[in-house]
Amino acid sequence: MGDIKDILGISRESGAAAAPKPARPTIKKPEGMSREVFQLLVGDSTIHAGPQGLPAMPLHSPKEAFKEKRARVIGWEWRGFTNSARDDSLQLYHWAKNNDKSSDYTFSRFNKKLKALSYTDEEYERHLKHPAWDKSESALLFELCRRFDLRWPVVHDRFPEGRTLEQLKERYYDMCRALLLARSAAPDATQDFSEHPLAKFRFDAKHERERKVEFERLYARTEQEVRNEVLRLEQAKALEAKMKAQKKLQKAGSRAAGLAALRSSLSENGLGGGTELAVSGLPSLAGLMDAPRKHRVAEVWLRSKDISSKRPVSEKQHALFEERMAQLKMPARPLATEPVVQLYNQCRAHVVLLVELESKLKKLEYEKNLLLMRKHGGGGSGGAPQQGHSYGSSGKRARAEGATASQKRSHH
Amino acid sequence: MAHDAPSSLSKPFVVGSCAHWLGKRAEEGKSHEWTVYVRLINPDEDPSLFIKRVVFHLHPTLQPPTRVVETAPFMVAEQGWGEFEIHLQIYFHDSNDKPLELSHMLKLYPEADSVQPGAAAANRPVVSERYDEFVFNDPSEGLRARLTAEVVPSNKGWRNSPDAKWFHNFDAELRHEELQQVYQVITAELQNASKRRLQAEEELRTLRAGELGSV
Repeated sequence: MGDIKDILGISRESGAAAAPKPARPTIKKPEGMSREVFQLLVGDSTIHAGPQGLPAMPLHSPKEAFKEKRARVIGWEWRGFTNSARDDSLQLYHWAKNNDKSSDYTFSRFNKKLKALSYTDEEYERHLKHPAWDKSESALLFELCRRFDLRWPVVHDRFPEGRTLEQLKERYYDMCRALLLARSAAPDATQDFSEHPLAKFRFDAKHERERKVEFERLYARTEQEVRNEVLRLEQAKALEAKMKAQKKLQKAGSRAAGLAALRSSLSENGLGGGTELAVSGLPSLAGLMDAPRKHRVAEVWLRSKDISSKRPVSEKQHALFEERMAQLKMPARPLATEPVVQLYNQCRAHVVLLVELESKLKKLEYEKNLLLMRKHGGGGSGGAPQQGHSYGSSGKRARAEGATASQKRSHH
Repeated sequence: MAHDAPSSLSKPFVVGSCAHWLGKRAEEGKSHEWTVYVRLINPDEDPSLFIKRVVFHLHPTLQPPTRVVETAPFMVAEQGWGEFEIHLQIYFHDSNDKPLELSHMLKLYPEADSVQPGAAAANRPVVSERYDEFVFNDPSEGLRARLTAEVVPSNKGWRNSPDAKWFHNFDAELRHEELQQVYQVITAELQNASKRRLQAEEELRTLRAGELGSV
């Protein structure tokens, strides 16, 4: 019986008193620790402190927590309510939670009512006249719109025969628009409606009709047509992929062509035709030896337009390139004869390659040094990365020392 | 670069300006007398044989700012004190294409580092010239005939121009030779770098292989 009582949270008369207190672990004061510190660590005797000074078990017994929960149980009630969405004050009943204080019916908030515009006879005469619509028809339209909250298919269904849905919509929205604009333009206007959505947007009946026609067409496709379309889309996809692959191939081809043109130009000038240049993989190789040709559509052009303005592909190398050009005494403005321009363009292309090759070389050197460092470090007992680090930092230190030394010198 | 197709012809020319300083007693705002011109390399050749007209677009403060020259010498003479960029349009005979456009920076004052001392500087005009070539791609029959006609000495060349002795001589051969030397330096460097790359790559490979072996 005692177990059931425990589960139900009913205290046993004798159980509470007899509940065995957990034995407090006795902690010995470590040697060398002051008494005060030890006291803090262990805590005062009122709480069950673990060796870390934290309570080793919850401060409230689970029995009490269970009781509290039980007090929070919420009941249900058979309650009468009114629905504000209804015109009559019909009272219905439903189950509601005890703590539910709302008096209105929850779902009445979904009863959205259209705030339809209304107009006076005078306003109709002045702003809303339409050759194809008479006054009573317009009034009926407004009435239906209000009644059915702009549920257009319903409005169209109730409207006398002879008007399309688009015509109804167009008339309604045009009227609203004209009304709002007229009201905000009036001299005694209290409010500007020009930003009102009804005034701002225009119902495009033509577009709407087209949209529906297109939709009908889409809907009326036969199965065969659908299948054909899928097939055609797949074909287009395949074609696109093929074109992409071809383009890629072409790029590779232009790289090879660039290399070939480079070789032939070298051998043409009797220079290095025999030895292979290790220029593979350099970014500017594609179209390297091509002359500029954008201007060549004209009937006559200046020879100086044939002068190449080739630069390395990477913008980072441009400064380096200019520096190299100056260093190699490349003329800033070559004399525009055909042989000079041709030679200049070759030179320029080669300088581009040279710059790219040199930065590639720098990268290789860096990689090599890194590997070498690791290898030297690897001679020790597995401390390779640290070894690498210390190399770098020693270099830095040396530089820093140099800087301080020069500073000292400048002080004297 | 491939040679121009045999259907294309070319004609070397010079666009330039020559400016004389008028001395200290010159009228205000007219310190220099200058000419801007288009001339052929050959001093005896008549450029109006194939050039129909040259339109010079001068600075808008000069009246009129647009000068049309219909015959050789294709030149405009003016007085002034300011340097500016002159735009030129060159029309050719028997050509329906748009005119060729180019520009020239008028130069009146000598470079700071090339000033000669004394009176010599006053008499020596400032000449700024640029060599270029007209390249005709598949010209019409008429224009081709005009371009390939044998040059007969003509007084419409610039041999008798008062400034002729100051004009520059453009030595294409020399420039080509200089560039050839530059080219040799570049190819040598390129080969050197290429060799170093191969070497570095080889070293890297062995290093990597060694590393793999040790791990």
